Amino acid sequence: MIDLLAVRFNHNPDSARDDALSIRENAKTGISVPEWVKGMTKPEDSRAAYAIREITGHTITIEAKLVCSNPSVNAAYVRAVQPPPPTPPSGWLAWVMKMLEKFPILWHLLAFMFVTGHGKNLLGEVQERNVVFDADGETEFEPFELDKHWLLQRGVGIHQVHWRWQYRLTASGSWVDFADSKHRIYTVLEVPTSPWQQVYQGGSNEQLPWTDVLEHACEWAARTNQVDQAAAQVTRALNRLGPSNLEYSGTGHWFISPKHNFFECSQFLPKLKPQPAGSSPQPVDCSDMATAVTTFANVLGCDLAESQMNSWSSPEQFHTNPIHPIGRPGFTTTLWTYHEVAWKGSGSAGDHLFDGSLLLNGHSNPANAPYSDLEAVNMLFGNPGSGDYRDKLAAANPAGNRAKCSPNMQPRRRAVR
Amino acid sequence: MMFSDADAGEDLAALKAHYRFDQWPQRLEEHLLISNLTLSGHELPGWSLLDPQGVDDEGRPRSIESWWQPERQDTGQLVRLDIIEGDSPTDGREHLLRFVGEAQLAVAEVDSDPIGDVAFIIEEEDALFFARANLAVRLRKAARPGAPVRELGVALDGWLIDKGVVERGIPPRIESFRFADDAHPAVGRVVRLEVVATDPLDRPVSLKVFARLGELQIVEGVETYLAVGEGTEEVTLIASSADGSTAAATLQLDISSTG
Repeated sequence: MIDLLAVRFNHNPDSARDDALSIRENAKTGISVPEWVKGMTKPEDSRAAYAIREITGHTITIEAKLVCSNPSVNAAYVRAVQPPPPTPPSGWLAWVMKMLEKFPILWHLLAFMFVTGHGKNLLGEVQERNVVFDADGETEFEPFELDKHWLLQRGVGIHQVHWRWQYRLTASGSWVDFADSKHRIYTVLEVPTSPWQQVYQGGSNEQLPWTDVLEHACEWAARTNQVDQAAAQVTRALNRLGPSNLEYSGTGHWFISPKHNFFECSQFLPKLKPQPAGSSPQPVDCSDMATAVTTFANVLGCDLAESQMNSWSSPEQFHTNPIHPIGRPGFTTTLWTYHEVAWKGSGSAGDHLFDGSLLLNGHSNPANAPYSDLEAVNMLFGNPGSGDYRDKLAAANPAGNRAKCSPNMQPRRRAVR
Repeated sequence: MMFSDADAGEDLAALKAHYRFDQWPQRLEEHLLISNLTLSGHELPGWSLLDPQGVDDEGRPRSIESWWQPERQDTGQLVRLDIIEGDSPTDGREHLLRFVGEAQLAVAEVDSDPIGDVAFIIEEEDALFFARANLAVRLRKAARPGAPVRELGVALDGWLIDKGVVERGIPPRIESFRFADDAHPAVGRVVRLEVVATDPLDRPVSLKVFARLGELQIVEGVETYLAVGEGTEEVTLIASSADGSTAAATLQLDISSTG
């Protein structure tokens, strides 16, 4: 009798405070609103993203459009709840208690799952409200408030949401199931920052956050609650793609167009998938990696920018300490004209950075063996002699070498395409 | 926070001074302008062009990105070839300088057996950079096995400067090749060239224009000729189709100082 026609998550493209972000799938394909329409059965066909910081303190709403085939019904109460879980096999409780007795640490896991609402719909339930059908039996896109959502507890992530839609004709009547909708929901910490934009332009803006990027970034930074943690996780994940997927090559950029200085993100994304056995890794340089870290971290709401030490247009070169370039078999020293990383702030000596293109030498004297991998995540750039990133990267000798490795403080974000 | 639109440190002056940009020679005896370049797959003998090649046609400069593998595919070798079409030799050389500057590792100038007008190499990484006429070329290994980039660079450069007519497929048709508005070039006068070459199958047509006495460049999207010396001039057009077949046309005229 009553049916669900469509659901809108991003019903206000100008705001992310009480609804979803404006997103698209990738450079070529947009995501149309309403995100769910009757006939969709797979969660990945209905995607939406929420920025945790922006929705904090606000009531989240979705909009749903309904239809009623019975002309005598002109109004109904409608809600959506989480379907009950499948019935567990008999004896499950005894089995769980036995496992908890055997592995007491599982109590912590259980507590974590309870606190973060594990097993519960991320978006909670769609609160009941009365809707009115017009002469054609349809409603407008009616706003519904979300109740008991877990957005603030879960941090960054990718979640499946399953709602069972129900109606009743009187305030005290019994609920009747009438539709199911499934959705794939991305949670990021804050509204994505540049190069990502929220200027909707009817969904045509290629710089809207891509779900193809969110798929990776949200997985890498899953459960993080702070931007620095998220950026660190993104940096680690990208660096660990060597040597199977990526390998350092200092011969120039591979994913930055020479003409427009775009980040060729559409070409980069396939390189993140498992590669056929025996295939060569994709070469990347420091600028490619700085741009990838910036792009994937900023889609989560981090605020990084690509910036260089020394400059590509300067012929000056500096010697490095032993470093472990991405994908290479071990430590090596080299001579660089410049280096580029994902940097916070203005990319100055007093700002922290994330370097996915290499691992530093963790030895107390970074020039000395034995070498140990040290991740350059959220590390202060520092000044010569301060023991920070600059000292770990640039060799102390010859004299003046570390001075050449100085920030050029020209941060920027390359647009994606 | 303000972010710069231009590439960081876009000023090329330091690089120009370091690499003695003003002293770079023009090794070809003729002036050459290459425009609308597309690759047919015959440019690197023994290697196959992987489809599709990426051609960025939106405005100037045009850029081409292509991937090549040996015809014997079991070597695991892979090469990436990037070409940027400048509007003039000076423009092409500035793009070469950007390629060189963009390399994080130190590059060395190729002194012996020159390739193009000027060339640089990173031996240990199999990367070659060179300028020829208005083109900047970057050839790099793109897989773990090494690649003979120097050898490939020589072959590519030889193809760029080749004026021979190739009959292998369906050649383009040269509809028009003349000085626009029937202008007569004179020393110091910039004259537009009218070049119209079409392909019977509507494929792209690459153009090479050679001149002995006149500098060639693209101004506002149009090929132009500037005579810099007096005498008998021969301006040759080589038009290439996507299958590598070519057609040629020649203009002969006397260049004087008064026109």
